[in-house]
Amino acid sequence: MKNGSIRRIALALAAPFAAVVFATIASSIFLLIAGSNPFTAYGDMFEYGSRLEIQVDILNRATPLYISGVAAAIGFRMNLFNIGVEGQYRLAAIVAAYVGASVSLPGVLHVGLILVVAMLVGGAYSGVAGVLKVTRGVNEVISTIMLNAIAISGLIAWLVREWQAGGSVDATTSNLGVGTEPIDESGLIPNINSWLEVFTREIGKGKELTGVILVAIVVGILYHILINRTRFGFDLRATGINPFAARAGGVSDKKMVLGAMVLSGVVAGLVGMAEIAKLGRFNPNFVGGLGFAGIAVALLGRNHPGGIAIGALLFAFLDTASGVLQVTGSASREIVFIMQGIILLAAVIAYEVVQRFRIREEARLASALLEGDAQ
Amino acid sequence: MSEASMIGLLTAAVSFGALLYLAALGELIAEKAGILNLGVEGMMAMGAVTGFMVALETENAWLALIVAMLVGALFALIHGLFTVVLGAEQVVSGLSLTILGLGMAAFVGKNAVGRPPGAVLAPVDWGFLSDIPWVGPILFTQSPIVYFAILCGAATSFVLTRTRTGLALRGAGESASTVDASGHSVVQLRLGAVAMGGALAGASGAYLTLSLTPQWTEGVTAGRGWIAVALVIFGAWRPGRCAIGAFLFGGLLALKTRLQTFGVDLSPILLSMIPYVLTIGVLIAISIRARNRPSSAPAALGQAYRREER
Repeated sequence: MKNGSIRRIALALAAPFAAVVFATIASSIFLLIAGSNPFTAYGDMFEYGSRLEIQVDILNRATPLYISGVAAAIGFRMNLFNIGVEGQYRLAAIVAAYVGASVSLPGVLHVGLILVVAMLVGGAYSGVAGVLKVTRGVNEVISTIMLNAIAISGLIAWLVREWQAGGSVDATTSNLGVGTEPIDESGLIPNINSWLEVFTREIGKGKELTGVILVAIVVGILYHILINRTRFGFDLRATGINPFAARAGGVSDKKMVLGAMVLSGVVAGLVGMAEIAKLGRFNPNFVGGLGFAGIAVALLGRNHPGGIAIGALLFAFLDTASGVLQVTGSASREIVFIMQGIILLAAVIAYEVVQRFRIREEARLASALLEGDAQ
Repeated sequence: MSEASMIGLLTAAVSFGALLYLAALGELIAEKAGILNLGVEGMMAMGAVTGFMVALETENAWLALIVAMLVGALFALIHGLFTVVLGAEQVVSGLSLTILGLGMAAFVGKNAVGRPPGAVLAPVDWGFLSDIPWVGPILFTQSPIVYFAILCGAATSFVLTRTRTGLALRGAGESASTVDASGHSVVQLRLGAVAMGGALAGASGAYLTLSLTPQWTEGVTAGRGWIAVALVIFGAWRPGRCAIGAFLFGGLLALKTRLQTFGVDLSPILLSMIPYVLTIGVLIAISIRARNRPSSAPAALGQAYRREER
């Protein structure tokens, strides 16, 4: 059935491809209405995105996006919607930054400690939603939305003040003074410019390719192994496809819900760690919104480790390369938000259409086989 | 605490409450028909930006409000098309709608940031009623949208519980196949409810930029769409209880900015957490009560209805 598998891959790729094409066309219409030339705008973005320094930026942006996408995907695989990655990674980041700055350890241990703290905090916070669902049947979508709000508008806002370096915000100094104490050099993940420079020229403009990219790759491989090669992963997929059958097969749904939720939060914690490794502290430059973007990336990549990577790179390209539009003035930078939204919506539809097509195909095949038997 | 500042607080509580109530009511209608729409924040942003832009262009606040409601409804119909007609996953589609709405609002409103409003909705003049102590300033100096919100609440309650359409609509959220068998179109009912929800979310957004804080900045909705989603649960899917919740949460929003003037030594941060903590508390309470009584959530909430799979 080699023909069949090629067909399957083609079908799987058709949906996201169609979504991107559709989004590009739709965004062009918006650009035209706004009086910009879409070709100039896209041309500028591609030209800008082809520079090595900008590609480093894209990879740096794609790294946390990818980890965040995997965090969301773990839940999605069993139809568990962890909308709370946003709150989990931010909370993990500030706690990890605080703990990381308050100790001094030799390199590997220091990095390891920050890593573990971030994962623990993320897992613990998502665990709240898991426990609520398992013990009280509280819908995880609603509880994680609430927990996001509690974390962002409450806990973090409070911790930022409590853990402010120097005790209080000094209004006379610039923004640079705001934030937690800086983490010692030993706690930061070094850049891996030299690795990339093997293949290319020297990276200029002080750009640094984050070493967290290696963490992201490990996360991706572990995710692949977990889903496809372990009992837990099998149960996870089974629960996602048919919860009743899985339960009948002896899968404890409570254990699965709690396990998937906590694991998702643990990975979300790594997103926070990635950002802290870049900034060296928790300060106003901390990037928000990676949790929601991660959901988008996971949906786009169909929860597949490779697919999420493509989604993360695409969104990172749009986010980063759109910066040039500010400079050239060929279009309004916000067009990429519209583009991302449309890509996402179009992907939802495209997957639905492909899914139906597939079911109809299978039904036709089955009926053809049955007719064959009858004769 | 002076009398004037107390009156100021309660007036703001009613204003903020109405803002939350409109959006929550819209979400309630959609959820009653079985469609969870997590795009409230996006629809509000779209309503806010279109309301402001139309007011800038035409200097007619009423026209701006109507256009904002239409845009909200159209935007919601994207979600309707996906979830009702095509049967896509509601959580996914709703979240996408929020992402798209916030992005599109930022794009559309880019040149309007910081500009003075073209028109605002002036408070209704109730004549001598506004002069009643306490009640006058709190209830009778409000923007027309506040009264519109209360009217909408009463109308929703009436339609849902006292009319055939309301019965069918609730049916679509409880057991879509039953409603289908009784000769109603589930698709029409659900699409109508979703569009209505979008219109109210749009009105809520427009209320922000036409009356409450008459200017446009990116992120003006500030997560209030999510509070609206919480309110529906808090109010156990009942318009009346939602109203109580909305004015309570509105009061908290109003109090947050006034804590210091009252000289209360309480962190505004803790206050801003209360609505969300309360909502989780209510969810837990619902689940404890649910052992004896059926849950108040619509039974078919979040489930796609496909005729061929009945």
